[in-house]
Amino acid sequence: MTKKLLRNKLTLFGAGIILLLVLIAVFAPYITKYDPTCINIQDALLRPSLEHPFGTDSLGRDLFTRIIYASRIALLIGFVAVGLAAAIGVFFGSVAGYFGGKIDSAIMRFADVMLCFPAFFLILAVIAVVGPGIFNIMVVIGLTSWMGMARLIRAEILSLKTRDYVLASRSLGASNFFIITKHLIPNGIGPVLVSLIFGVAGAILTEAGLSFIGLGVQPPDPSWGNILMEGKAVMGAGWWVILFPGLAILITVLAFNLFGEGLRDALNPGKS
Amino acid sequence: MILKVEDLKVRFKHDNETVKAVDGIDFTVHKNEIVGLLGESGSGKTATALSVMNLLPRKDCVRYGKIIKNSGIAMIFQEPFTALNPVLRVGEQVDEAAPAGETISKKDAITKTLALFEKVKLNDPRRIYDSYPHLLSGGQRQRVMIAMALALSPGLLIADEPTTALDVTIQAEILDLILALKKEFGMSVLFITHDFGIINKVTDRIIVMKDGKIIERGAKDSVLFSPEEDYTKKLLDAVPRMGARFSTSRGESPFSGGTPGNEAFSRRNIVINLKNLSKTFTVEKGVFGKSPGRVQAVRDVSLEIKEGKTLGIVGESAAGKTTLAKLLAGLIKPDTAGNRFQPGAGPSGVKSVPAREIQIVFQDPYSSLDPRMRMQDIVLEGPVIRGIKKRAREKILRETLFRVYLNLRDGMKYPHQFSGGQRQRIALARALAVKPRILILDEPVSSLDVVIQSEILNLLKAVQKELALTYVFISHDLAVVERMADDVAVMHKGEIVEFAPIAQIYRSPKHPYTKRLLADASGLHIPG
Amino acid sequence: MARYIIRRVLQIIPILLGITIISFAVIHLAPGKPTDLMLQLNPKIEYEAREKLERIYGLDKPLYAQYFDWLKKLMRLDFGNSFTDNRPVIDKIFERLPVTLLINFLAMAVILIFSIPIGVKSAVKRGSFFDKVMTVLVFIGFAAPGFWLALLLMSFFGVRLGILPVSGIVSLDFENFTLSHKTVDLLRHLILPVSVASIGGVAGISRYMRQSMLGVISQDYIRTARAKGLSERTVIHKHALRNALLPIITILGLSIPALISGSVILETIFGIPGMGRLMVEAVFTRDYNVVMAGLVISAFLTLAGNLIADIAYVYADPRIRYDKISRPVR
Repeated sequence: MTKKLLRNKLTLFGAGIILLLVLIAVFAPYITKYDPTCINIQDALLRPSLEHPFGTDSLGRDLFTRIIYASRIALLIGFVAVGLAAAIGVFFGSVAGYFGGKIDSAIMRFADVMLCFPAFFLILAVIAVVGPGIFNIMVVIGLTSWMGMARLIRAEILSLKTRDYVLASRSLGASNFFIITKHLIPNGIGPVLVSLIFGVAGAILTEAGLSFIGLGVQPPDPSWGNILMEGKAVMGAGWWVILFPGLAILITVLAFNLFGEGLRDALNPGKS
Repeated sequence: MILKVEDLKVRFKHDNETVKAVDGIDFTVHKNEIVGLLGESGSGKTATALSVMNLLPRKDCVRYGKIIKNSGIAMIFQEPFTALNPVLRVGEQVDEAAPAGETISKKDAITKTLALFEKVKLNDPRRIYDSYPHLLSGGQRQRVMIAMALALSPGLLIADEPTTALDVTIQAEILDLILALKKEFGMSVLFITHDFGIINKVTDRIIVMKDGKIIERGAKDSVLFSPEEDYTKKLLDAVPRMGARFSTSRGESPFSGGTPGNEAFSRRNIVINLKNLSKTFTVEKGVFGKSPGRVQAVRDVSLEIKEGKTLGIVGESAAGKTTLAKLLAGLIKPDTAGNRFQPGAGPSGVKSVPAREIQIVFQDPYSSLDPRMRMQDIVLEGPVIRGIKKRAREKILRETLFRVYLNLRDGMKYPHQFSGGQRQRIALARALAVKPRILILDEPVSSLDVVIQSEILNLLKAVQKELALTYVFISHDLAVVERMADDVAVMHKGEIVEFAPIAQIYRSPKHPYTKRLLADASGLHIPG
Repeated sequence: MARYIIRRVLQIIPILLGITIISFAVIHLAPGKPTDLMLQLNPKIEYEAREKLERIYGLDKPLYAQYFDWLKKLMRLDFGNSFTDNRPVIDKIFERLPVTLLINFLAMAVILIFSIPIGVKSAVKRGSFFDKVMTVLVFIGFAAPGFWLALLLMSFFGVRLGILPVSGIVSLDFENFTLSHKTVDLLRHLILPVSVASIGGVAGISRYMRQSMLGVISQDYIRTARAKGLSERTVIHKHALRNALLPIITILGLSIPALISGSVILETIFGIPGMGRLMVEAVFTRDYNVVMAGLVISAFLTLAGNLIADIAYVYADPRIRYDKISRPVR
């Protein structure tokens, strides 16, 4: 399976970009000498140049720097939020799928109800109560996106638990816990991993959207979304303030999507 | 001459490797004859048929050679369950089939289809016409497929394993139908199969294929009964024969390995005594909320299983054999408490410790092993669960692998790196590693090629003798059961209709269902 | 069939209940009371006045009692009054809902019109130039944030070229237009928002369509159809397409919440007075009654959409419509 993964050029490309992004995020202070929050009004809205590769924003801050520091936040929120969603989802999904019956019905009903709410509306509602901020967004996104993964692992477990090797395991004396952790989850985790990768992409988009309307990462902390928000106000005066943060989002999400697709292909026993 | 194939070669590209599915074959099919194309899986027989029909995949596939056709050709396939479009009515799908270049009005097409349905002996042609495929049985669907083929007015019908997925009794009916139609329409048939019994019953001439080449050909009788090539001989030897042990004409054959005939039940220890065992499943409500159906998979079964002997359980699909196997293994709970197990086994449910001394080997070697576990971990799963220490485990691994003729060095490999036969050995090793007293074998060789089947059956017999095991051998193949069992129980719709020592069952069956089963099976096997 | 519909409708009731519970819980499980914000603005309010306020809003009762009160009112479609302007919430929502619905319906139509042919062609001509180009476009469509594309389009078509309006749903003197002028005006205002709203959907659904088609084409019954000598066109359109469209019905149903979610940002950017923007405004002003109502109504819309999709699916797939238990053919 790893062979297949490595063979697809696009997937490698995606993975490569992700790696690059992580490195950029981690080593941000070494890559750029500017301070992302240092205001410098006389340098406001300068065009892209050697000094400022992406130009400056309306408060004179170097755009390149802000975008790089924003990547830290984007990746952090993406990974933590999805990690949380995965933990909740896999737990609920495996329990529902394995034990079936009333437990399954109860959990799936709960998931069904949650799925009725348009994600953004639900997130907005919670933010209305707890307020915006990096930590809050991470938790909220995590708490509202576990349902997809729960369904995935549940479906896998439902089909896997009737496999002969599970029956054999039971015949040998295995406990439920043993069967779930040693047989079912390792074999069923594939689609969840794929969903995880796509989930990170989704979380990054969600965070960008929230920040764009002012309910996400609060200024002066840089987020691609709130840079765009500030950019909108000066749209006519500086195209670079809109182009570059959007491109950053595009490339990041694209990278995760490519990698996710490649992973999904590799996990599926070949297409004929 | 209806079909002439000259130097046909078919190459598939798979994962950067080229596979020569068909490697230069020549053959001819004449008017009014049935030619059998025989070979094991991977021999190239299906690829040959698809080439003739121009149905090879477009991508990654090349075909060389010449194919000369002198009439229309139609084909029917192996899986009647997936060969029909599920969202269109069956009649409409047959209407569509018309010989090349012929246009026919909708009204005429319907009349033609209904007439064909009668020809293929479908009851109530109008109702069938209006049905969707999922409402019909396997046998009915295959008849529809035959009607569809006939609608093309073919001079040659290619039948690719058309009965393999069907029950024995239906198999016989479909084969008879094909023979009758061949006579009536003056059609030739190219019959592709791996089953010798079918070849014996149906064909005039045989072509044997292996690895994309033709190994041997000739008139049916000469190939089957005096084969020239080694490979053909090897295949024929491995085929389970009906009547090998209990031929009514020859009396007791030296083949017998079990309890001889008309004795009363031997006085061996009874190790499992089942009385009135039942298991009912509730069918989930249909989408439309009809009252839930109940299926009595196992109905009031009483059996005695003797120590050290093999109990054969035969029956067609859905007879309840696998449910019975699971009940015995303790994997599912029976309905009533009206059954008694002898010490060493318990009728426990799933949560309590299942009968430790009863283990089970399943039919499908591809789904009975966890694809993510290494071979040695699979074999040692039982000992690990029971907390046996590492040193002792290594010893168990060595002994068990030795017993099933597997290599210790292969322990680090994953299931997909083994062949079907090897995987069954691994499954067997896994069961043996916990030192069971009773082994339940649920169709252990049905998915294997004929030569491998034979090897595994021999292995099973050897292991039984060495370890004094008791077997419960479940199969739908009466010839295989004949070879392995001492006592036989015949199951039909969840009930045991007859239970007797094997000689009695095979020589003088009492229940009408048993008789029918034996008759159909004999017709499909080569006499021993 | 009718029995199925009734059953499904009945099944919705517990889910609706669940929706109300969650909507209520989300707002009320936070620390503090909804009235705190109002009172914060004027710290000089005395203790008694504060208590009186709380009693008016029923905040002195235990949580479950509050919930039932709210639920009872809900059943009469009374969502209370908005904290900002004291108008009935239901009025505000009915003002805004049609706009959001209009945009989403149009977007859905656009999605269907484009994604199905694209998906089919990509599958049938797998690996071709068309397929590759479409794949690239799809990936970009997925990855580009909608609001960014909106900004780009706005600045290009609206500011630079000036041919399309960039804000609002109608022009300022809409009232004075003739009917045909009104229609044209409305459409001009809708072009940008609907386009942006449908990009994600076209990308997604065309991908699913492609996948579904590919899956269907490799099925045995397609081989049978070809073996019958049918033209490739018939094989694809009559046999393959009908099967491949089935899962798309379900997917469409599942993408309704995504469309509604998307409305939030789109309406904010384009200044469109719809549900999404109402929700955002309510969040900023902590107008909890509106927020709760928004949750309940949007979830209900999703539920209704899914119900319709389910029923359509059952109708379309004969395997479910004619169930073996009800009409076996022997």
